[in-house]
Amino acid sequence: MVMPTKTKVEQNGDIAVMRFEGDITSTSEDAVLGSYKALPAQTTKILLDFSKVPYLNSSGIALVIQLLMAASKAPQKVLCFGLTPHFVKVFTMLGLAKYTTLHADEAAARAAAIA
Amino acid sequence: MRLLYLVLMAAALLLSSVAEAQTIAVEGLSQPQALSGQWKFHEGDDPRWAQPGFDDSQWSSIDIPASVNQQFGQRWYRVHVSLPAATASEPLGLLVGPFGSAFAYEVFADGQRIGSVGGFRPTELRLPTVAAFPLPPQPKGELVLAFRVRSIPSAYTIPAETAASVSFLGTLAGVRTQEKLWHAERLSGRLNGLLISAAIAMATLFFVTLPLTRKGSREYFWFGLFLLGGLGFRLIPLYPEALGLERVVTSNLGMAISLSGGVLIFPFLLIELFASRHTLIGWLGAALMYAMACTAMASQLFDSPLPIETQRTLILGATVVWFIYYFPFAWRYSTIRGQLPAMHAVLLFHMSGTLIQHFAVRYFQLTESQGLGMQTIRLLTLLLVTFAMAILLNRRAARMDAERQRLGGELAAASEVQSLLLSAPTATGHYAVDAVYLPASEVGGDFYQVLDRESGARLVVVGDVSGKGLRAAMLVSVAVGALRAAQSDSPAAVLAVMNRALCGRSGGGFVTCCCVRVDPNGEAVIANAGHLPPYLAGREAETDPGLPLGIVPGAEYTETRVSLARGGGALVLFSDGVVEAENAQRELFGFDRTRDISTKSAQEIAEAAKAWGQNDDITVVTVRRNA
Repeated sequence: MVMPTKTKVEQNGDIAVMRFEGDITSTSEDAVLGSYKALPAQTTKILLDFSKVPYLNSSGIALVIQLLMAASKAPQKVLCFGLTPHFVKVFTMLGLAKYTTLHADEAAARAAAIA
Repeated sequence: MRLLYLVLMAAALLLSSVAEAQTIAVEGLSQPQALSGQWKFHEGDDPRWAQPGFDDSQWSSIDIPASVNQQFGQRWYRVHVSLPAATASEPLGLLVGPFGSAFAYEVFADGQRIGSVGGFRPTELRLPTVAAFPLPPQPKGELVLAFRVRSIPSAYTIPAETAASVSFLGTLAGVRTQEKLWHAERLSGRLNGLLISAAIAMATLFFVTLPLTRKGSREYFWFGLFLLGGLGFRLIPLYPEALGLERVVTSNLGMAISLSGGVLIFPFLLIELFASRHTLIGWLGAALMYAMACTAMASQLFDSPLPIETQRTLILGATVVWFIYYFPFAWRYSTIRGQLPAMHAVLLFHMSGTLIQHFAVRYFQLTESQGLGMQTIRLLTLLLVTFAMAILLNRRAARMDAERQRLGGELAAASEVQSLLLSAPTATGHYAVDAVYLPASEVGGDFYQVLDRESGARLVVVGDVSGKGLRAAMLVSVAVGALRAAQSDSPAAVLAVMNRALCGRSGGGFVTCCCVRVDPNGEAVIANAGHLPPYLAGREAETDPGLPLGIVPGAEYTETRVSLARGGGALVLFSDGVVEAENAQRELFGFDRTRDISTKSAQEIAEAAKAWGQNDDITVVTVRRNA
């Protein structure tokens, strides 16, 4: 059974952390893109927390890619963490390295964000 | 009711010249005696009018039994009764009513209040019925009975004999027996109405529960509640005895349910029927219909400054205006949208049903005693409306089934067309290509192609469109079209051509694609656009990641070269339906299991993923160099 997506946004200065919870699928547009569009204008670094996301299907990945494309144009730096090994491999396969970096946990992502 | 009032007023004026109070002589009380004869009545309200000594000689007279009807407000009736010299030793009682159009009255015997029916507040309503009251201890000689009566405004007429007032005097036991008999007859007479009501109640249940099984049928839910309101309004006040409730309680309960149906639920039904049209004319129609409903309801509750005939004319006029407005609207939409406009017509019939009832009673004198009184006509109207709705519903369901079949046929045709886009397995030439495609639904978002080049090379392409269904299938067509149009032998160039074709057409989605060119000399050149890398001899081929197609115009792709041995292991390409097959515990098939079975045949790999738990299209293509 698909778990609906919830998004919690934590804003700290110019860094925003978008914490996703539940599956990310075609029904997650508001949770992903809607939450992204609602970020304050001063946001320059975005951390995407996938630690509570058990599954992303191709439509859900398409939403994440749209977010990455939009952030790239802004320009904003996007860092992902908490992905399962399976989806780390999927994200890598998709060639998204130009648009985001993948990190094991939040601390590593934050360190990379302020580096 | 008001028409009768006017008739009675005219009659009262003619009779008002009779000034002398007459006394009704009652002979013997062993059986209840009808108080037939001349009664006095007067508009207004004064507690002194209850006193036996009050001079009512100047009041208007009326011969009972007769239709008694009155304008909204208070009226008093008085009757002088001469009792027999030797009255019964038992306590006496009075059986009153049904008291005309009264919705409440108090009864006084020789100035002493002996009981009442209904209330005198605007919302305390009751329908005419009979009631027995004990008289004070043994009156002698003449008894003066006074009735303080209240009526309410109503745009509708109560049948004459229902309004006729006949009271009986006798022993208390005798009048109570008479009262029970009257109620028993009345209940029996309502059996037909009860059966009709049961049918409507079943239809109501059907309509209310229909949306649970059929999506997109919310209007039927609201129609069901609307029917329930009408049913409650008509039934509950009629059966206080069966419900074991006071008449006032049942009347108020019926009115409350009716208000819920007419004022609270009706707008939701109108919104369902009209709002979907998104037209000004539709909303105007809804507003007019709702105004009519509220006006009719208000006329039942409040004292209107307009004469009752004017109210009736306005309601009738609004109905006519509605008809004139409605039919062009219905005609237009009935040819476009099917049956919903017919539901408007049914509702209109329901709205005008009360007027129809009025005319039936007024001009054709259909009465309860003929088994076709006003209440029965109202219930019949409801029943007709319900049946009409059932017929419309059936036709609509048939149309929806036909539509579903048509869509199913189109999906099947789309599936057939898509199958033509997929290449057939081939074992000729330098390479044997095997392929298995298991769509998750009628049409899928995966595709594979095997294209032979003039150079003797063979292009093997596997792709996966994000998303599912027809939209994904359409994007497959675009991708395959672009692939077939690409003339280059370079997999990276082919992906670039496909990317240009898909950018701006993917609707926010993307296409992952792996393109492999196998040359006669055993060399395989691989370019990957975000797709799962192929496996060769049980190992993942290391390809450079590339962006999926359809996201970034001008994206470039790199090529990786591997060698295939004669009669050796196969190069296996597949879609994410394999690695993301999910079992009941939500565990993915994953990369490791995929790698472990990657040396098996395409069919075995696909079946293994399907058995794990298919939730997406599964495509497996194997390319084996012939020995």
